[in-house]
Amino acid sequence: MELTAPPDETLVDLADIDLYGARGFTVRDLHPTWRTLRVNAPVWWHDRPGETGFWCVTKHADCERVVKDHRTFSSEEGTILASVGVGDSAGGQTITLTDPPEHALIRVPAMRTLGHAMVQRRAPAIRERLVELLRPCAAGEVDFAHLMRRLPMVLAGEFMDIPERHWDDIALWAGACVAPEDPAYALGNSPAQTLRLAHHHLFAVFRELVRQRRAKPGDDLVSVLIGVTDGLTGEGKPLDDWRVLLNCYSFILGANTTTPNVASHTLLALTERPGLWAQLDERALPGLVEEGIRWTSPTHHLVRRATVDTRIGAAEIKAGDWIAAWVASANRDEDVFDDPFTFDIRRSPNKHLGFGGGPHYCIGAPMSRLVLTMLFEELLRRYAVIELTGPLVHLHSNWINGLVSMPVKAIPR
Amino acid sequence: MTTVDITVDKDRCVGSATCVVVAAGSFVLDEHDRSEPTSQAGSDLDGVEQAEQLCPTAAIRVVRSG
Ligand code: HEM
Ligand code: SF4
Repeated sequence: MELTAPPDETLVDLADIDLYGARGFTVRDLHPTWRTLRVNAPVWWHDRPGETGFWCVTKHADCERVVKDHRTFSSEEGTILASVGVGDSAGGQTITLTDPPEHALIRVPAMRTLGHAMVQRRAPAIRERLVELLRPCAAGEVDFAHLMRRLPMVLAGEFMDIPERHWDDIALWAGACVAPEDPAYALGNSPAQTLRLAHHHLFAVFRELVRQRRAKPGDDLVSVLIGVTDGLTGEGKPLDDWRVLLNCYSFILGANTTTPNVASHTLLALTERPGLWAQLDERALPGLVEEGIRWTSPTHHLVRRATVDTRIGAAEIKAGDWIAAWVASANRDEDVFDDPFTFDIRRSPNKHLGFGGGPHYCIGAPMSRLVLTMLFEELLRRYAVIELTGPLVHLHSNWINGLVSMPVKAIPR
Repeated sequence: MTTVDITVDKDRCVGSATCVVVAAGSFVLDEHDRSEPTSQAGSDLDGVEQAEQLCPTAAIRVVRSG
């Protein structure tokens, strides 16, 4: 999606708003729509003729409440718009789709392999792989969005110990799972078939990994998942293979849908502001990454389902209603951010909801911050300027703000 | 005597409740879902150090002195 700063007076007609149809998200900047909702209808019922509608929450405070208050707003039946009205077949089985207290069964052991200490330990290996990944930039012209598909695999190669020969395939299949409507990921004759094929291929690789790790456990996440038991008291049965596989899927999707798009959109924001590159130094990079995450907001929304009757602002929410917390909108909320439409790498504090919040706060956050900071460090070290050289192609998705193609030229120092 | 100072940076805390789970009794979430150490925190240093390591935003600090 294009990220622009709409003039203050740009408001759209509520009757024209469609936040479900994926086409609308491809190019058109939805920020004017979200701003209209923040101003005129901060808790708005999105009707869908013939299908289940959902609430749209667009203010920062309301989005934060929805993602944090897991007792009222459950993750168990799905966390994306595609699940509204139909649920998710992996509900209650994965880290993403369970509520506390069961959620901690997977979250805590997984965090042991993804926490700050572990991330620091893995940093040298990650940097080595990252430098290798960036090698094509030296040729001058490169499709940066395409290159960045591999960025999360640099991480997954480490924390899931996935052999490099699988990386490109996994990145492609994960992309197809996120945006089966997108021509770039059309593996089959229809979105449904693309999705089936992508799932089939991904699960085949995960099955192989699980077989290997059962035979020879390591300190990687797959081995950790195999060791998880399903009892809150510390005793219980190990997760069955299917649950292990579903959780592998959660982690691969979590990493692949987000990290490449933050990398590309952040670089895009820099190419659009030519003076900024020259001002960057290593100390400025954590601020750049944080602002890049706010700016991109790679997940447009996070969905929850109400467990009880409740209120958000003036709206009466019924038990069973679906709620989309538009974190991309929250991240431009005028009540929280000064000049929210300004890309400001010195923004402090920067309380964006790009990683969500509450129990499901992104478990990959320490690793993402590390690899994105390293990425811009390595680019800055090598290149005096990076320019856009061709047209951008945006992803077809109502969930992920993605770039499919972004040709750039890197000019060495 | 060794004293231990346990603090939570409330600006960094995102309310994941990881600390509340791994060091039960040593942290509670306030009304804004931000964590704070309890008076018992000093007696479960193992748990508190685990929480420090597992906090997704590195909001917990444990400083030993003396
Ligand atoms: C800049 C990059 C990233 C962004 C912006 C991001 C964003 C998010 C967000 C918004 C959530 C919350 C979902 C919800 O509440 O329903 C989340 C959860 C998650 N993310 Fe990330 N993510 C990023 C990178 C990663 C990476 C590299 C991994 C790989 C480990 C990952 C794995 C996960 C997982 C497994 C969850 C579910 C956690 C849970 O339910 O407890 N993410 N991420
Ligand atoms: S683990 Fe960290 S982010 Fe989570 S509640 Fe505790 S202090 Fe806050």
